Amino acid sequence: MSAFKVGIVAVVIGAIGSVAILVTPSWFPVAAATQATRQDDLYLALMIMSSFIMAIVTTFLVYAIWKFRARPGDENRDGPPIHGNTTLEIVWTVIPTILVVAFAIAGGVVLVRNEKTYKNELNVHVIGQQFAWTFKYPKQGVTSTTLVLEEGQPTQFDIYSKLHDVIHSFYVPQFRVKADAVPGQVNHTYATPDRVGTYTLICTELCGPGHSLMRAVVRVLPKDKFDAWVAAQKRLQSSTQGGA
Amino acid sequence: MAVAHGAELSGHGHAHGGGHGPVQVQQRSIWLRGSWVRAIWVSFFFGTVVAGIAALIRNRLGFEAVSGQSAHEVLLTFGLVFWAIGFTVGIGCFDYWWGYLIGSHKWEQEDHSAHGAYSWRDYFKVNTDHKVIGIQYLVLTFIFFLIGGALAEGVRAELATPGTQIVSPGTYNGLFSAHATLMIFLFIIPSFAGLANFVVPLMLGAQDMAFPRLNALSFWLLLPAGLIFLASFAVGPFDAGWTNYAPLSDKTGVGDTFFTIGVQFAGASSIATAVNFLVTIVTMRAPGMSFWRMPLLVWANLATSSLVVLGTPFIAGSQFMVLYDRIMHTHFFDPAGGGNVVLYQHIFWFYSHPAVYIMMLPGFGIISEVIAIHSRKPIFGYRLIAFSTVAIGVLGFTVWAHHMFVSGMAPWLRIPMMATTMLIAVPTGIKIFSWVATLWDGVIHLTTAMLFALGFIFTFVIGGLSGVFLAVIPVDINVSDTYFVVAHIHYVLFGGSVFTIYAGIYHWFPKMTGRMYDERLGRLHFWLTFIFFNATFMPMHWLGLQGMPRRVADYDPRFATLNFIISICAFLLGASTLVFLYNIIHSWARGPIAPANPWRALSLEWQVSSPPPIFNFDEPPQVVGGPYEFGVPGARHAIVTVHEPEPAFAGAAPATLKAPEATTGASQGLLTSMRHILVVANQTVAGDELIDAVRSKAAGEPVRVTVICPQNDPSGEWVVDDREVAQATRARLDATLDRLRAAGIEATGQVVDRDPYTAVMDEVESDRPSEIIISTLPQTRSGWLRRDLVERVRHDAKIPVEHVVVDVGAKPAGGA
Amino acid sequence: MTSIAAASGATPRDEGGHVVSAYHESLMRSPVFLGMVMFIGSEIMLFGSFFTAYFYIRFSHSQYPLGGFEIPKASTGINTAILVASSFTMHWALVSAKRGKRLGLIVGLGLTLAMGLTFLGLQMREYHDLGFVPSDGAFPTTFFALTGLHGMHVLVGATLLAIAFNRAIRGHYSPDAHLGLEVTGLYWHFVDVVWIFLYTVVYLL
Repeated sequence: MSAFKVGIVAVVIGAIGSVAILVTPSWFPVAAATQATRQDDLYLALMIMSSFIMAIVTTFLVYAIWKFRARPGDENRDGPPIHGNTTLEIVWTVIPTILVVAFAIAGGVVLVRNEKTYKNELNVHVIGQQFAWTFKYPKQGVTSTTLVLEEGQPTQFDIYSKLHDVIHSFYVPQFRVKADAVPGQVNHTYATPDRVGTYTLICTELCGPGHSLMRAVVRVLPKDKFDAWVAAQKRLQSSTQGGA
Repeated sequence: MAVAHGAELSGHGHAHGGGHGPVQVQQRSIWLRGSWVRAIWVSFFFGTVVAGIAALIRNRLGFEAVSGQSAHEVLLTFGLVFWAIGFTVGIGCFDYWWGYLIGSHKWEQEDHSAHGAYSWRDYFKVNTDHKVIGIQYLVLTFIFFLIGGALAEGVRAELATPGTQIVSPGTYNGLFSAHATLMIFLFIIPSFAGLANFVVPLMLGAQDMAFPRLNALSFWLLLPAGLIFLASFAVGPFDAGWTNYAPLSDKTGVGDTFFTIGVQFAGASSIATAVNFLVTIVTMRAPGMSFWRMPLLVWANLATSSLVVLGTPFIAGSQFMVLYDRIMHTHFFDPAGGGNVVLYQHIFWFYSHPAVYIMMLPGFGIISEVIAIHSRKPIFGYRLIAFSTVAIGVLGFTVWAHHMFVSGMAPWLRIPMMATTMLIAVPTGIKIFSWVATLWDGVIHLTTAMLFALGFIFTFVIGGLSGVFLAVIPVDINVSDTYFVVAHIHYVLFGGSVFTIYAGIYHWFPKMTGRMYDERLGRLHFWLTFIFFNATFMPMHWLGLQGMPRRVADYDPRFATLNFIISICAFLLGASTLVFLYNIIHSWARGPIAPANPWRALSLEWQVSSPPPIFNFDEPPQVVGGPYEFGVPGARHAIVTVHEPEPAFAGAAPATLKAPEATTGASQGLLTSMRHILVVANQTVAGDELIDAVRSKAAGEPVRVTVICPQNDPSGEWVVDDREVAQATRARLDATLDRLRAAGIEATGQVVDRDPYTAVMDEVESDRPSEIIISTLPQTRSGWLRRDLVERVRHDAKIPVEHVVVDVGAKPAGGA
Repeated sequence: MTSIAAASGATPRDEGGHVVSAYHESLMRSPVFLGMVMFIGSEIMLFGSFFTAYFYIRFSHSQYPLGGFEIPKASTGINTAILVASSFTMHWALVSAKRGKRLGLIVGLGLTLAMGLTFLGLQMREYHDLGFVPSDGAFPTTFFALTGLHGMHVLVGATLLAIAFNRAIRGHYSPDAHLGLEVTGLYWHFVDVVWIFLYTVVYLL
């Protein structure tokens, strides 16, 4: 088989792989934010590119091993002295360059879209400490140990760690967003939850012995329930403050 | 620093031939001469004395001398540092330099008392022979590999089921921290240094490294570094990960001090070795070894060593700062005192990303060697591979912050870092494609070394592609610090580095030990490793995508089944190492004796015996061509002169070339009436067809042969040195003359004018030969034929002209 | 036809009588010198990591130095002048060695060593008189780390100078063989240049 035919086989295998990637039911946990959908699309595009590259390399590799393996009598035989091929070398320099530049642009676009800020967005202060999370809603004047968000509402998370604490990292797999909580500075991340449900916030930066248990519940509520939750929290806080 | 200075004494002392026995020096008591006994007492003596002085000073300055956390850390720091220094002093690394320091040593004489291994005991002593040091490195680092592997199995045992069962979360953090630290600083980086130590000087045609004593010190720094890391388990292991991120590292237990100090010694070892490699590669190349004739492993080491020299000081700096924060209560990474947390990550990753290439580039070099040699083809696109190696090295310094996309660093830095990171995929891809193209149409021998190289291509493409995923910021934001990253780094560092280390060990095992390994066991080892490696780490991608964070002792029960399977596969992966161990140990002791060149390779390390002689080469070899000219008729990489074994000192040893054919035929007296044949050849001069043609002419009657070699055109060589070109041409000529004389033909020769036509016609005019033989490469590759040399000479010389084509398919005449 | 390798003629030897093999004939500089250059490259990066910390912390605060720490510019300026002068005496010593002038070599080295030690002594005095310690804040942290790191290098340089001084007195250097001196000098100049940069950045700017 000529190299050209092997190439065709490789591309066909890459295409089959791409289809398999697209029909795979779940690469990720359920997407619960607009940021998540964008990340997932980007990821699938990368997978499809990888499918072709993987198919090309592996097909040529396996075919070459099978076809050109040394057989009895080949003990003293050498291959033809081919030192290179400028056209081929240019091809496999230029095509990957184009591919990575394309993905860098796509990545940049998604990044900018994911971090777009809105006028009336919800602002939540996320405070990490060894080994617990606290959430403050400055506009609403509410503090909670559960992260409660409003469906469809763009949210900016201001992420803090206490001054004498260590680094933690705010990660909600269903939102596909993450940002470190760093002592001495505020980091930001953005999510627009678009699916009502209960998720988990996970600390993803090693922060000590309690790291693996440093989690919090994330609840995304429809607008009316969210408002009701805020009101209930306010009542609760004023009563505890009043009682103190 | 005194080290680097004193190193001047260590270099270049080996420029003489012949084997020397160990020099008998008057032996001092074992307590006083460089030995393990002295290493132990001096190390503890240094450690306690200096810690004691530190306590005294603390007392005088009004601090708590010995009690309290702060005092413990300070005394521990001084104690550990000087324990390690004491160890290197005690074992004998500084003995020779000491004489220089005090200015009284009789160092005018050559001292080879510590060069070369004459018994197995010499491997346990300070030795300046790069081959001994190479093996010392490989054995010691492999022991650390086994320990690091055991720690990993501990991690997998804990993760086999959710919840915490076997170890406490704190100990668990210590397990994976020590696992990564040992694997990176005491296995991958130094084992490449060990392989290169053995191979690179041989490949260059050198007799040793530039600074053999510094080389020995580099090795002996590793052992205390490793012991310091392991000793931390006695007081509670360092548990902030191998990344040792501040401020966790500022605040965590006393074990972290062990980490910061151990890294300094491992780093010092790396830097010293890298300086040594750089100087060796720049200055110790044999005559004719231009940069573009260096084997690609040497290129890889050139790039790697540059990365080490420029990068490693940054991790040293970062760990000094953590140490100061811990023991001097400075505020580098303490925001409450005005410091900055993200600063640590910048400094750390400025080293530690290039460190990934420090752990990959030598592997690329090994793969280039193995693939070309075991598929019997010239490496495809030699220069592009060399360029891509350098490109990866340079780009490697511009990508560090891709580890910090979620760290809260300056947001504008993210897009440029993504772009540079993704660009690195291009030179990496070039290498992969070039290797596959090298395989194409080759004669692929599926030796164990080759299997690991081929397996590497597969696993490394996966690791490389997941690296591209991680470079794309939104994807990285999602999967960073999850098991996706764990999978990625293991595909790069295990599927990449460790596979290449295995390939290298199998490939050079015959050269190192003089024995062949068992191919059947080797294949078994490969398949077990390959299958269970993929079974262990492939599913981790999915775990990461599903949101399982890394560095956790406990996890969501829905990942239980997969983690259990991964753990089982990890145990089997660990068990596969036992096959390797058995094979290596058994073959080293009992394996069949290895020939000098079992793989029929061209590079210089294969042109000497297995194992190589103590001083490698009797004379500097003459390099005359590229290192991968498989299938090129008559091509040779180098001409190696071997002295006859001689009983006493090297005096005026006659140089005889090791000719491939046995010497036959009686010598002929010079007869004036002999037929006179003019032979014109350049690159093909040592080719079998040419020699055969001359022989057949000489069959009936005595002939006189004059060989002229028009000088090779040096264009395209980086290092252009007329003398070098002349030497290369002369070396080829000498080889031919010797072969002709060996066949009983009276032959003389000379190197002449560059233009072959003028050269031939001058010779015809002056010497009146009776016939001419012109030897060229085949039509497609011959510059002489393109210039119609044969026809023009036939037309103008008016004597018989025979044209010999040294054909494709003939085995290379070179090699020995 | 002679063998190529054998055609090396009289065996060249370095200052220690070591055989200089055929490998290095074409080099402009000795491998030891090259090794020192590369080692200094590594040292520059080590200082680079600490200067990175210095600049990063300095530029992450609007006010500098934080907490109003005062460091003596003038007296350290004199100390700087001493260190710079020692580079010239070092050069003088090297030139003397090359010309075979023993007196210049010994006096030059002795002066260099003395000035190096003076620099160290004055630096210790400065530490003592500063009135703050490394744990007092981010500025003292970076200040002590940088000057301390440099001080350690001066100490190492002074050790090398002491060795060279000892060997000079013993007459080990000659116009043909003074590699140890050259390498020591290179290191000393490096230590000096780092200080000029450090003084400018930390003290003056």
